[in-house]
Amino acid sequence: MTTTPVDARPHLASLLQHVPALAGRCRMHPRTEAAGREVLRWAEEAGLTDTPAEVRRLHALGGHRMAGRVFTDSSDDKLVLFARWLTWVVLLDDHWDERSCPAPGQIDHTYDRLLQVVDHDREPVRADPMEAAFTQLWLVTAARMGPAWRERFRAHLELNRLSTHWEARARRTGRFSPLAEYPRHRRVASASFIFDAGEAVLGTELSPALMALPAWSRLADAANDVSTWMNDVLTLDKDQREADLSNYVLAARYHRRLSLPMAVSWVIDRIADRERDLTQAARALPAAYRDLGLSHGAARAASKVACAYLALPHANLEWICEAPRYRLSPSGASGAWPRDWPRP
Amino acid sequence: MATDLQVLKIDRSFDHIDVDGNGVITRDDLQGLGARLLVGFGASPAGAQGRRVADSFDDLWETLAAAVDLDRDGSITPDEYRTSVIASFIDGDRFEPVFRPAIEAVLALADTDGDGLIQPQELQLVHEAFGRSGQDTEHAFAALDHDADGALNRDELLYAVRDYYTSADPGAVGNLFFGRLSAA
Repeated sequence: MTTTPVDARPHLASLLQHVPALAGRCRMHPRTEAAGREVLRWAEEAGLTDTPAEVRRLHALGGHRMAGRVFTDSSDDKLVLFARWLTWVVLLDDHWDERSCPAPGQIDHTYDRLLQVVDHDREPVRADPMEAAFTQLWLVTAARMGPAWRERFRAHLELNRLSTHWEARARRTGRFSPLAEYPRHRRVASASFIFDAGEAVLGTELSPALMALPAWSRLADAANDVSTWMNDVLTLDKDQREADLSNYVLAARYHRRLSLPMAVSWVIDRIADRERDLTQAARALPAAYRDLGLSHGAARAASKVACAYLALPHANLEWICEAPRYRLSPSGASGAWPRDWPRP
Repeated sequence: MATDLQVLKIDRSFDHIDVDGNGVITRDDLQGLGARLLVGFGASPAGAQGRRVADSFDDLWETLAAAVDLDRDGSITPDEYRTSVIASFIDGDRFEPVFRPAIEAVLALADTDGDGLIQPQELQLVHEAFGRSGQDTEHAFAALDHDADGALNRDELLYAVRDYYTSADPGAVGNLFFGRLSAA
C-alpha cells in the first residue's frame, strides 16, 4: 500500500514512523474533481473571488479534495455541499489570518452576524459575500434538521468565536497561552461546527442521547486532536515563519523549554496516544448503541458519521501534503513573537 | 436457477444491507454496512484493513449493479438483488474474484489479534453490523464451532459464508452463518 503522500512535508517520515496507524491511503470520491469545479463556480457567483488574490487563494485551497476523502460514498450533491462548507470555513480562517491582530469587536461582529443567520434563517441586512455564502449553506443544510442539531451547531459556532479570540489574543500580545489550554482551543479552533454540517450533509441526525455519551465525545475529540496536532507538526515551517503562536509544537517548545526537534517528538508522542484513543473510542460505540437501544438503521447512520471521524486524520494528512495553502508563504510573519523567543 | 432455500437466504441477505427498510439498496447502503463494521473494530477506512473492506464492497456493488440495475438509477430492488446474486455468484463465476475477497476482508478485520481465529465477541460485532441479534450469534457460533473450542477458524468461516450465499444443500452448516433461518 502507498504510504507516501504527494508532497512529503518536513517531519512526515517521523510522524508516520511513530504513528504507523496514520499510514495508508484515503479512498477518494470518484466525482471529486467535478465537485471542485462546482465549488469554484459557486464561490465566483457568491462573490468570494473578486480579486486575483482571492482566486489564487481558492485554487490553493482545494477543499473539495478533503471533502472527497471524507465523504467517499455520498451522492454528488452532498459532496459538493460539504466541499462548499469546507471552503467557506477555510476562507473564514484565512479572513482572521489576514488581519493578523483582529480587534475583539471585529471578531464579535462577525460571529454575531453569523449567529443571526442561524437564529433567524435569513441573510443579515447588507450581508457581505462571506455572510451571504454562509446563509446559503445554512439554509440548505439546516432545512431537514431538528432543534437539537441547530442548538448544537450554534453552540459550536459560539465556541469557535471564543477560540478565535484566543488565537487573536496570542497574536496581539505575542505571548503563548498556557500549554494546558491548547488541546481544548485547538479542537474548537478547527471549527467543530463543520462536523455538525457534515452530519447534516450525510442526511442523518445523531440522537442527543448518543451525542451526550462520553463514548461519542471521546471519538470526536480524539479525531480532532490527532488531526489538528498533526497539522501543527506538518505545517511547522510555515507557522514558524508566520509567528503563529497557536501551533502546538511551538507552544510546547516554549513552555517546556525544548529544542525544536524535541518539541516535535513530544507532540508526535501525544498524537500516538490520541490515535490509540481514537481506535478505542470507535470500538466502544457498538456497546453504546446497544445500551441506548438504537435500531440497526440508526446505528448504521451513526457509524457513517463515526467513520468520517476515523477517516479525518488520514484525509487531513493527505490534504496538508498536497494543498499549496499549507506551503511556506513568501510574506513572512503575520503575528508577533514573544520577546524572550529566538527568531526562526 | 436457485432453490427455495437459496432464495430464502438471498432474500434474508437483502435485509442485511437494507437496514433502514426502505425496500431498495444503494452503494451508500452497502458502504454503510462497511462503516458499521469498521467502526466496531476501530479501523479507519484509509488504513490497510479498512480500505480493503471498502474497496471490496465497491467491487461487490459494481458486480451486483452491473447484473441487474438495468435502469441505472443506482438502486437495487429485492427482485433485482435476487436475480443478480443468482446470476453472479450461483450460476456465474463472480464468487471467487469478487465475493470471496470481500468476505476475506471482513474476516481479516474481525480477527483483531491476527491469530486466524474469530472469537464469539468478534462474530457478534460482525453480526450486529448485519443487523443480527445476540441470539443469532449464539446459534451461529454453536453450529459453526465444530470442535467446541470457543473460537472459529477463519478459513472454515470463509466456506461457511460461501455456503450461506450459494449452497443449495439443506444440510450445509453455512446456512446458519447468520443464525437460524426459521427465526426471521
